[in-house]
Amino acid sequence: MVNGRVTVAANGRVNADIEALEISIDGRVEGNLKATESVRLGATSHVQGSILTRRIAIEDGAGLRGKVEMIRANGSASTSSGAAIAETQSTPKAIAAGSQGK
Amino acid sequence: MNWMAKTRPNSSLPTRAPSKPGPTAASSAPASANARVSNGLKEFLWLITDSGQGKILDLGAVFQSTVMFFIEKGFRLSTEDLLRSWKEFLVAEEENLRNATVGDEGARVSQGMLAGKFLDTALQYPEDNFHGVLAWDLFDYLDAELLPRVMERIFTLMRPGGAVLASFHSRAPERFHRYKIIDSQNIELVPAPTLAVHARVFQNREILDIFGKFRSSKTFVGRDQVREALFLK
Repeated sequence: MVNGRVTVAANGRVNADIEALEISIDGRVEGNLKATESVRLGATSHVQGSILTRRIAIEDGAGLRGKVEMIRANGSASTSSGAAIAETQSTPKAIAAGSQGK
Repeated sequence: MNWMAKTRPNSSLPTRAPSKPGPTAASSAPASANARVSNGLKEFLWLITDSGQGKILDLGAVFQSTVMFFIEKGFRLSTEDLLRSWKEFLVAEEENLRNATVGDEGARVSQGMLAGKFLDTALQYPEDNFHGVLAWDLFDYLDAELLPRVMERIFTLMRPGGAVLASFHSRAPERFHRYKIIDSQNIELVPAPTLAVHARVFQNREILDIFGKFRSSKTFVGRDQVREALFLK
């Protein structure tokens, strides 16, 4: 787990899973987002992948293709199985060419 | 029809309109000008409540209020904005066609082929996965070739007993909206740039045909003449 903040700017494209304390997306991400604190999807964001976080903020206009799950106070996901992000449509690992703000 | 097989709890769950389905009293309507009462949502929630941590698939735009609404009720929510995906797919295909060399027979595609290709990547979930599917302003915007294939796919994704809530316009809408849930019986229509042209107005009989594989249905007509249709697998 990365104990930092990850930001994908509006013209940024990421093909990878992201794990961080806080994640803020304004660009396009193909991959799962896992944040111990919060995820923010901006109005220009488009995420294809699952989101696991304690808090989430979604601005109108954001695009999401995937599952949203919240981390409970005891640290578990809000699913009974604990297989938090098993159903995503893609799990790309490589970072694609393009700008990426971090 | 098997709507009476489920007994209604007396908890804080949404209550059913006394005897006649349809719009609830105006006094319960939300204040926002773009909000409307959704008796279909009320009934949908009642139907899926027994699923506990059930899985919901929202085929519209993602909104904070909708996500939190289901998560706070213990549901697991997946979202896939099908109209947006379809539009992006068509734009990409058009670009491919533009870049194809003249006389390239492989570049020729029919609407049926496009629909099939789109569904190679869209709506990719395990079978019998979802307890509920939300599809406001979707089916009457889809291409005639795509619609039956989408319906077939949705049917396979749903668990037996699962419910689909869909809306159908009784006349061509003046503008395009996305839908967000405000509470258990109210939704807000959010004006949005047109993602797709309203394809056609379906008659009630045609709607039943579209959902032909589903075992029962219920329809609610709002004051705005939008029909909310609820179908059980």
